[in-house]
Amino acid sequence: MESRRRLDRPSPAVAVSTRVRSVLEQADAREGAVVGRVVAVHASAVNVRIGDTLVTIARASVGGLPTGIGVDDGFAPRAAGVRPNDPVAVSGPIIRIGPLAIDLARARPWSPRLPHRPIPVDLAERAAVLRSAVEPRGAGRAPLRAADRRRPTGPASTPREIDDVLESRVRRLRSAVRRGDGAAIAAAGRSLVGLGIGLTPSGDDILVGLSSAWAAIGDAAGARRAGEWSAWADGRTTDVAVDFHRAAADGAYAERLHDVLAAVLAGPIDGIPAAAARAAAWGATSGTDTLRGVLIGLEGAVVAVRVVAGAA
Amino acid sequence: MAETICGAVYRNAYRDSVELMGIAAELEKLPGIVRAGLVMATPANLAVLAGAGLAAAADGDPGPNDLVVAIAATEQGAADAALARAGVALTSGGEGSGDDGPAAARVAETIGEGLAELPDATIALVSTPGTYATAEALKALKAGLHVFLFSDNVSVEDEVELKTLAGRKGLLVMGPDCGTAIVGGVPLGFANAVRQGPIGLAAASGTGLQQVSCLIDRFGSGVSHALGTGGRDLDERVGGRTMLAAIDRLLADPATAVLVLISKPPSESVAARVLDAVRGAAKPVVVNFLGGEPDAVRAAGAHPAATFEAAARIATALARGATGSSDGRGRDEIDGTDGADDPALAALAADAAGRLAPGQSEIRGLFSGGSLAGEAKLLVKRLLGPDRHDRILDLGDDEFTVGRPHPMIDPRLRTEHIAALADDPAVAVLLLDVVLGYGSHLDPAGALAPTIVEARRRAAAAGRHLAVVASVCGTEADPQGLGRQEQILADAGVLLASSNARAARLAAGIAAGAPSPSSAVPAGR
Repeated sequence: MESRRRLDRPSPAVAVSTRVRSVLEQADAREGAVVGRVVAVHASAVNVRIGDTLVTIARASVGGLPTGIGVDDGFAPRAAGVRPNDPVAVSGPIIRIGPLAIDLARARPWSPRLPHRPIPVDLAERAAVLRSAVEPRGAGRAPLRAADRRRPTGPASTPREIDDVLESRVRRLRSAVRRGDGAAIAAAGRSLVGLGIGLTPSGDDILVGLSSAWAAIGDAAGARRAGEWSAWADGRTTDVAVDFHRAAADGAYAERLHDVLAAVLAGPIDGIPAAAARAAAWGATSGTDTLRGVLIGLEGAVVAVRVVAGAA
Repeated sequence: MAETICGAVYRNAYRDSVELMGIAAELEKLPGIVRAGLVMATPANLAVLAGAGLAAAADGDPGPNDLVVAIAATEQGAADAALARAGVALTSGGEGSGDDGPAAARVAETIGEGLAELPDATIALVSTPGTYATAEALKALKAGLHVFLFSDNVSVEDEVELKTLAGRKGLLVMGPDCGTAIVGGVPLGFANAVRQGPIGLAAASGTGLQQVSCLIDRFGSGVSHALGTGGRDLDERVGGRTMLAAIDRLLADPATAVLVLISKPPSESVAARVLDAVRGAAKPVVVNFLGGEPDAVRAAGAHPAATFEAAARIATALARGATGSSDGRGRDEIDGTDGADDPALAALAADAAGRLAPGQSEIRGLFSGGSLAGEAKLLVKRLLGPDRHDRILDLGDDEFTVGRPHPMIDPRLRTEHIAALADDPAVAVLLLDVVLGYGSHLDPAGALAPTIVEARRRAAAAGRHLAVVASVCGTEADPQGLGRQEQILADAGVLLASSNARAARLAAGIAAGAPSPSSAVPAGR
């Protein structure tokens, strides 16, 4: 295994989330102590569990992750021979993951906490730009939904049934958000937890996106709901999705969501499509699912603002 | 037929959704497999599995981090084979495989990485969000690769820049928004399984290229290369850069004996430039510019074809050595017909028209292919005149597909439209295309048939006859099988035509024979 030997030299980390810093500071740093295990290995990312926290180590080019470490673009854990259940150890600034070693000494600390921003007067127009950026040409031909082309298209395929259930529940969630019906929002959100076939089920991605929109506009009730969904998600969805819910409950989100929400709420309006495209490129369908949640939250805010304005 | 339900659970197996859907799609193609699903065993997903009658597949109390493979099959042997195939797919190249063989090939994430693994590659297929597509295409061109640019949302300025660079480097940029191509027998994007042969195509028209290549196959010849140019290539601003480069390549290609050029109506000056490029060519050239002027084509020494079928027929005849023209000039007359004087078509139209109720006179075209819709619209207008209320829709257009899959992938958009028009008393003919091939729905006819049957039943219950006319664009070798798809439609009462042009002519013939409103039967008779 030449690749394993070659990777003994630590790879420098580029950025590290402040949430990871606190996890590592609490980990057992004695030489040789195993503090965690590898959970999943991907082409350019690896998920490890340290204590109760799932940490994602990924190429820095994907942007900061709420509980993540960004390393240089040569990072290829699958090709390097990292395997599920490989041990994770921490020694000073070095974190060892199976055959890989990563040096955090020079990593830039990054805060995943989403800043609050005032709702712009032209939010409706901005949300519409985001919607058209997410769904510019229809799902079948739209680049952002390119993954759909690979879906099994037989009328009876089980993923399609899950999609159908998902769409129906998303409609219920969107309707509840537009009505501002707290109990219905909570229930619709719970029904989406764990719904979707892959590593981070679509339902969870949508909820995280929705929570991020609420967090960005400082919706306190939304923040409470994110906490409720996080508690509900434990044991009801994949560990990776549970960790995203926990981060959301803590107000922590991926940098790509920071960028989208900054673009929609505060940036020049013509910067929205590029930020959306970057966010949508995340994962197989996670990027677009998360943006759907963001849209639901922003469109709900548009309705709420109109109602308030009408009452005034 | 009784189904066998079985499954397997993979503990702590994380896969992304696209990978799982890809494996499920492969399993569903296996003989005897009714359905397959691979899902993370979250309670929400398990509830859907149970609702689908697949609860038995999730045996062994799986948790949210476990992966369930659920199979419904016609018999146990088929189910076992599918489970075994799933096991191979999940353990080869997935996480933890760690070897540098097949797994390494799957991890290429940049053009550079891909080239390192496939140093002999000659084409890069770019399908990224439009924002990134130009950058990726530039990288590919700089690495010496031709580009098949599936992405849309690329600006005209970027398109010109890419094609200019490609021209300097002697490369082709097929696209942007290029849906289909066949290069040296390798299909890219939405393409059909056509046999290889001496006819080379260059097309600024996705389903136009598919229709011509399928008909060439049906007429017994084959395709050397079918090069898509992107729908805007013959626009004034782009100047036909890829079409001109493709012509040069096809003229120089020893495997190509006849060229076919296809486009939606091009800009006048670009059309002239393209015709200049083939003037005096050593190989015969067939030109199908929809709605274009045949005289200009003849003046360039090329063969005009008014429809996709005519283009395929003329090209096939030329490839077999005919030296005349389709209008009777030259030594051999070339058969360039497309059903214009077909007595069988006329008889079919008269029979269907005779069943229409008074007031039924309009054509509704619900198309999945934009170029096929364009051809049908032209023919219907030419045959019936402009002052009518026919409507021929391209359901693949942005107007209909925002937030929804393209109708070539997902027929639901079209079935909704069909169901809606069943109660329209003015509709005499429903005109459809069914496009087969790689990337298209695995059973489009099967998905449409129940709605067609129901629409015809509802029309009949209201005392009307709804004529449904369709053509299937595909070949026997396509994954869906031409004959199988046509049989399903025929069983649903659909009048089948062998080409899109013939289907349009048949629809027009039926509408032309519709009883006049004055023959309406008085109420109470």
